[in-house]
Amino acid sequence: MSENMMTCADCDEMFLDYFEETLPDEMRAKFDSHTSSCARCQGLIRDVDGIRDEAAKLPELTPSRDLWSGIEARTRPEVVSIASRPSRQLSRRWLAAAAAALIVATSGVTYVAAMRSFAASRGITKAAVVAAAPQVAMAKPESSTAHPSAPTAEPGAPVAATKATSVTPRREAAEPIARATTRTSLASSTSRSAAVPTASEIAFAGEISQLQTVLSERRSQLDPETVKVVEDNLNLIDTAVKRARSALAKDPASGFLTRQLDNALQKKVELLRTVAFLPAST
Amino acid sequence: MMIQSSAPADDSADVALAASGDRRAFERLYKAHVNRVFSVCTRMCGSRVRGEELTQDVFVRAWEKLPQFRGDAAFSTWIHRVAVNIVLTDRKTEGRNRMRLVEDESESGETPVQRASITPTYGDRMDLTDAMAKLPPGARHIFVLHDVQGYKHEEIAEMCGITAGGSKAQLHRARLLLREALTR
Repeated sequence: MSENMMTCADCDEMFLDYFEETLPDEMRAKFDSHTSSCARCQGLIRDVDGIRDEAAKLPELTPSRDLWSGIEARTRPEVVSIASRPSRQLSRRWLAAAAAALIVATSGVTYVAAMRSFAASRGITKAAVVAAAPQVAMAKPESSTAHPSAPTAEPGAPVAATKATSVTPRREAAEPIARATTRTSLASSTSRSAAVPTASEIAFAGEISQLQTVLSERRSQLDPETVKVVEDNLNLIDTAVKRARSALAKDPASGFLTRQLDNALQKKVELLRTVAFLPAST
Repeated sequence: MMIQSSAPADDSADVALAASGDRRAFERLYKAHVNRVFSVCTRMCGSRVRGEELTQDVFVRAWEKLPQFRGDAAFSTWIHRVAVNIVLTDRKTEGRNRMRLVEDESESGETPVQRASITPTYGDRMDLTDAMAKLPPGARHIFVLHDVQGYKHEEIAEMCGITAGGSKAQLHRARLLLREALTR
């Protein structure tokens, strides 16, 4: 490019800035000087300006069909029909069945193992029994004032049982245990029948029943002192279950109370399992 | 930004109602803005059929996002921006769109030329709208956004994920291609 003259090729490189109105003044003067005498560049500027003007004045377009019906269909809130609910119920049923199967299997294994343990006669300590129910044992002193919504005590609290010495088995003292166990079971069952049982209660009921059968069959092999501790703890647990159920009857939606009830039932199962596995006293 | 508008000056009441789930209010907003949305969708994508589909997508998206609309800008500006974003996103799935166009052809009976054409042509003369439809997508988007819709290069750059300089270059290229097509 000469000092004062521009060619069409020079202008081609400047059209972008020209149309954007970003050409420096000095360059703009040279650009104008060239285009004023160049038909080709004048034509390009005229055509592009015409396109810009026409584009800015383009009218709005109108859809050829109704679009709202399609939009309305896609934005309509999804309604879950009653007919579609069985899938969820089926899912819950499957879960319940799976839970029940698991409990039955666990109970069976416990039962078989407990029966096998009859053959092994070793020393017995009540501490093993007490250790199975630390929460319940601790809860005993507060049981008369405990709030219904807090039927069990804090976990990890010290055990209240005071006798942890080795005991000598006495077969003749076993009968009261069986009666006490049966009484505890009956009391528990009676209290549950007062209200609608929760799903977890139903699930635990089978295992508890089997374990109590094991316990009644083993009562003659256990030390009476141990049996007394077991009995006390089972009574405490049943009290906790009863209170939790009573509170749940007043506030069925309470997750806290449901968990408390589950915890108490779980403790009962653990205690009964522990007793079922205790070696026979010698 | 200078955007052509025939929308009502104040539709804030309907916007508030629609944001709270009032479908009748949203339908009123649809009726007020559908032509503008359809215009930008159709011109940017170069097809009436696809423009109608995209317009529906825009209003469905607007319905979903309306509760988040803070009202910093006018609803017309907001939904216009939604429309541009829908079209630009659609372009990213161009391969899928090609498949859909093939299906549209068999379903609607449109020929490819008819599909690309936004308005009927008269004789051999191509008008601006037809020429725009035949631009490469990138150049067409920039041209529509800048010369038709009035966006600035900085705004276009942000929307399209390019630089302002890139937007200027694409615009110039589009104008020269249009000139070539219109003066052929």
